[in-house]
Amino acid sequence: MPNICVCLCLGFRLESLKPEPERDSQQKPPPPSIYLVVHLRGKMASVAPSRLAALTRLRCSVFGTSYNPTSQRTGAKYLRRRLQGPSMLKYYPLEASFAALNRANPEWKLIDQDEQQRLQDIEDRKKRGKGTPKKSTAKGDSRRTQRKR
Amino acid sequence: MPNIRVLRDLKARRGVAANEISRRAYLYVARNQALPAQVRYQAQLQLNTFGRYTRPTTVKNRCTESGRGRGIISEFGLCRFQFRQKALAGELPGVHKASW
Repeated sequence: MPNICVCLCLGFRLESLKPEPERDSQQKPPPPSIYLVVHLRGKMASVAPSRLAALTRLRCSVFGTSYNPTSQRTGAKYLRRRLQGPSMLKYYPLEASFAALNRANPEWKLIDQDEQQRLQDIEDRKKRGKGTPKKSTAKGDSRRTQRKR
Repeated sequence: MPNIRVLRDLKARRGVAANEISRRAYLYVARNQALPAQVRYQAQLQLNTFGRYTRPTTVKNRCTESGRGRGIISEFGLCRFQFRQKALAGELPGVHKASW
């Protein structure tokens, strides 16, 4: 490590905490005060940007973070995020159904009474001429297009 | 029997789980500014070929009892009415009607 101590002090002046005196509307407000204090072996000096960059790179290698001075988007967040799929699949509780059991075990052939009744009802309705209407093959024959607006 | 909206939601959940890893890989390539623009563009085109029900945003938590999409109390996964009925019937441990 180079013998540099960088101390970044971000703070507002104490004056800003006091109630502000009456000012003319034309007068500009004072600029926010941000102090960057750099101690270089006891003497105050301005540091070259390349030196600061070297410091940042070194700090990254020490703390195991990636050096990205231009804040380039690396897409790492898409790899870092946990996968959502497994927990999404678990949302609805599993329901046992005859169809699922039959699909899993083809030799079982369980009979679902409710489903049989439903199919029987449909057949009965068809016999009475109350079945669902046929879908039209041509586009113009569709009942939706003939509907009056 | 779940209603059609729940079935559609289940379809979306299965699609998301099945395609999540490849979508993430394409997203990583497409959003990575360090890669050449042509590669990123191709990755984005591949992302666009995924179906509607592979995106996690198409998944909606619906009521596990009635399939209602609004007014879900997420802690229980129930809509407000099913929550009330179950709470009054004492089927939700630790939940009882407030009275003071």
